[in-house]
Amino acid sequence: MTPLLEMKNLRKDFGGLRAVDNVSLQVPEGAIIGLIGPNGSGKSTLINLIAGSTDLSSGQVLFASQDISDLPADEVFKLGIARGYQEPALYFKMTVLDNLLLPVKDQRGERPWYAPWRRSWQHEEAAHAEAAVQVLEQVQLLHHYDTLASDLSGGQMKLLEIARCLMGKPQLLLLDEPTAGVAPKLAYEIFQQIARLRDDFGITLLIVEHRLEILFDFADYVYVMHLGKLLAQGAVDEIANDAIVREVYFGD
Amino acid sequence: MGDNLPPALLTTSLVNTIQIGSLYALMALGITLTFSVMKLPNFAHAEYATAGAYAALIVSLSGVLNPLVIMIAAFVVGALSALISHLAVFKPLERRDVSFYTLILASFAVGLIIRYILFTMADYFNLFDLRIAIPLRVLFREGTLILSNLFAWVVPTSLVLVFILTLLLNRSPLGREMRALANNVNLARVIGIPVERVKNYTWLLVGGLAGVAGALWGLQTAVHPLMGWGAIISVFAAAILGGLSSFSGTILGAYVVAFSENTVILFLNVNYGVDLAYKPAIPFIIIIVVLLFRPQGLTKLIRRAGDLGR
Amino acid sequence: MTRRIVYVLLIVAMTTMLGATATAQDDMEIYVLGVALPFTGSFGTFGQDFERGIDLAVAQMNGELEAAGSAIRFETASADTEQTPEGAARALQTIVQTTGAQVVVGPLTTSEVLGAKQFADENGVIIVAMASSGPAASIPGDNIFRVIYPPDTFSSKAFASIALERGHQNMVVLYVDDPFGNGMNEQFIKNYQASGGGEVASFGYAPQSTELSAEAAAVSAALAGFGEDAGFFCVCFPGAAEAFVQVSQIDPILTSVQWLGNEAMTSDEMLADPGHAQTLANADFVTVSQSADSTPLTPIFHADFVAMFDKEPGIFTNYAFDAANIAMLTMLAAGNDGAAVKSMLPFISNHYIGTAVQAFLDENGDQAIASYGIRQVAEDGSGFVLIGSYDGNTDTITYK
Ligand SMILES: Nc1ncnc2c1ncn2[C@@H]1O[C@H](COP(=O)(O)OP(=O)(O)O)[C@@H](O)[C@H]1O
Ligand SMILES: [Mg+2]
Repeated sequence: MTPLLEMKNLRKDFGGLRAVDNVSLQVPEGAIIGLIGPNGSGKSTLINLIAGSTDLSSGQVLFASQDISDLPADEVFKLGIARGYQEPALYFKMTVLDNLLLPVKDQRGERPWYAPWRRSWQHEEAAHAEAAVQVLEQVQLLHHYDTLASDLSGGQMKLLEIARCLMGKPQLLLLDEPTAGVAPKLAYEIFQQIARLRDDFGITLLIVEHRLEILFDFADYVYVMHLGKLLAQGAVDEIANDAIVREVYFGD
Repeated sequence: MGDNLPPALLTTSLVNTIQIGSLYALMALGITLTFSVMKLPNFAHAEYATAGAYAALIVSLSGVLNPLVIMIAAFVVGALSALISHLAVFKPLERRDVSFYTLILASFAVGLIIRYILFTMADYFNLFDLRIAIPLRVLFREGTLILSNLFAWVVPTSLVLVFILTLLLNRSPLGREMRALANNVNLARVIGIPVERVKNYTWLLVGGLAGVAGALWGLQTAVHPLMGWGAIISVFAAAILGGLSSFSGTILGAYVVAFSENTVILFLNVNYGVDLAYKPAIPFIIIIVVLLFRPQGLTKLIRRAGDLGR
Repeated sequence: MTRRIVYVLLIVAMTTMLGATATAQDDMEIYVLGVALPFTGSFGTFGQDFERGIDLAVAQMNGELEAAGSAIRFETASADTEQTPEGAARALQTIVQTTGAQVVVGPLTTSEVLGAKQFADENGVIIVAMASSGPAASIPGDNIFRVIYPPDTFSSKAFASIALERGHQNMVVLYVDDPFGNGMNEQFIKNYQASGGGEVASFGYAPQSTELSAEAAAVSAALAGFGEDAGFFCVCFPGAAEAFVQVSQIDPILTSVQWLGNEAMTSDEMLADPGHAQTLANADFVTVSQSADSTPLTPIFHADFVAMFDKEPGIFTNYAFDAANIAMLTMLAAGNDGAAVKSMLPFISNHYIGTAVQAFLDENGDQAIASYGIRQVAEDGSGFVLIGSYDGNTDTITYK
């Protein structure tokens, strides 16, 4: 079976720096794939390459057998690839609910000839809000729906980001360190919820993560990057016991 | 201040302040909106108003005197000129990622082009310094307070439109998306907000409001290809007082500018013999002072409602 | 690559064409007549119409020269003054530096003329203006000639006399704050007070103003301060004039006093709006403008203009026609040389019968024959009616 997402020989140069060097990687449908590696090894750059936020130097990205290498970010999003950021990217001065309603496609109330007449779009808006409420329930943020995003905790911001991704009903979710700056207990909960997304909704996940102990509990398969190159790959227990990985990663 | 300004002069100038300030507000909000959402200080804005005024004039000369029809014509023409200038000039330039200064220059050029299209048209059909055929009448008179039917037209129309625009921005899905663009356009793109469409809609609104403001301004003065250009500095001063980002600040700024150009200048004239010909210097002074000492404008001095930063 | 070829071909084509015209005119001597006028701004229509008048004069002159077998031909080179002093200076510079013109017809207003003056004086270029009247440009010995249209020293006397005759003890003046307006205001005050007038309160408005609410409020208050027998004198350009009348309509004081207005306000466009027409009619609005007493040339000019452009000449267009003729005749007599033109222009001018009035210059190089028509808005606001005349040379008003 062809994988949902496939990267072939990706390369990205920032001037003289080769941030991603000939990386090939596969994400099968319904899997949770981990991507690990020391700081600066090129993980975020790789996510950016897939999401269309950064242009490739060379190589190819296939999503459901379609070449998306040169698509801009919004096109990639439309195809069903949503992403979260290492630094949460939210509209901080808007409420949680507004953040979720923003990505809804083809809203009636975004047309200027309807927008001033509340009646013409409030039913539709209510339906979208309903969907947002369900998503918020999934990530357990419902009681915060009217909170300004800037008033959320770091973990909640990450969850809100994931929730926003879900509003677009994505097939594939790219998450860049979803537990960075999150309290350990909440970090584990976040992963539990992520796993539920896969189990309940069949969403495929590619997760960059620093907290290996948590990641290893949930991931099906792990890729290891070092200095832009793919250093190793394998099932969780193989990677956890790989001597080279231990060396570059843990320095022992 | 009333002690030193004859009462008749004080009331008349205050009435003028309200009337002119309302028109400034209507135009300045558009500038604030384009600056926030599109990151463009649009000096062609005045020309959308002039285009709207000409639409109103032509409709009224054709014998249609229904004010609603006149205003709708002005709105449509203003909106279209704004949208066309975006699609033909600003959007292609943004694609090329040109500098901020290039965009400013381009907006001057767009203004110039529209102005001369209007000039050519006005010359051909001999439409200089005409008035939209709505006669001016005294509606209310009590002592020194005189209100005209124009006042009754201009002030409520402007206030209602400003109110609708504020609601739209803060309460509607379109407003939510406009605020999102103002805040972080890259993120907007990534999460699938139809950025180009929202920009088009914003231009339509901005141009339409300018068009209506132009038509009302044409009732106040005379319709001429330079009429909008004549007001642009005052309007920019108002928007800069609003920090180019705050709705409430811009509205307040508009009245501050109008107050300076009407009441303050007369006060200075009566008491210190300052020449009225210095009137056009007032908005310049306001702009310089604001940029030097309070570049964020009046924001934070007032409630944050209607901030585009949200 | 193809693009480069196209460029090369274009350049080749253009050079050959230039060469062709050059050979065709090889044995011709071309005199360039500069034309500096406001083609944009609120006087843009005047400028465009004036240029047509000049083109007509040049076409006729070239026709005569050809018929007579002369080798001299006139060509015009025009530039937009944008109705500003700086724009006028730029226009003059552009014309002179690109064509070497020695004589320039225009610009229109006194502020433009003064803006162009320094460049003209320094570069030996002669300016022949056709409508500028501000006394500020009445300077002996400089390179500026103002033909056909007399300076406001004359008309300001007429305004002062009318104000006194109407019994105005005091006057309020609103004037455009430029050399023309300032000159008119100063001259008016001087003449009015010299003949026994009382106090004058003057308000200048900035030339670029299009909204005159504050000015109207100030004028109204000043009139109220003077009491019943005060009068109002408006020295406004088109645009501002309409804007002022617009806001005056509901002012109780401004609608109860008598108004005087400068020549530019003698326009049917001022009366296009019924409300404005009524306001001016109620104010017994009187203007003073130069008489275009018909000369034998008036109808000929009119017919020729209509034949060439298929439209009526605008007001004062014949002044531009006359100015161009005076300039060209002088160049034919003195040669295409600024200094020679300067010395000979008064002589030619004083022997020129214009399409409006006989040209005659004083020691400042300004038109010295000044006769004016006094007009009042008809009671029903339908138009301006000639009610009398003013002879500037004898300082007498004659009513019909
Ligand atoms: N926009 C950029 N311009 C230049 N260098 C960059 C840019 N983004 C990342 N890099 C460099 O690329 C390398 C990989 O960075 P990154 O992908 O963020 O690593 P990781 O996410 O694995 O920590 C780093 O050396 C980083 O400095
Ligand atoms: Mg990273």
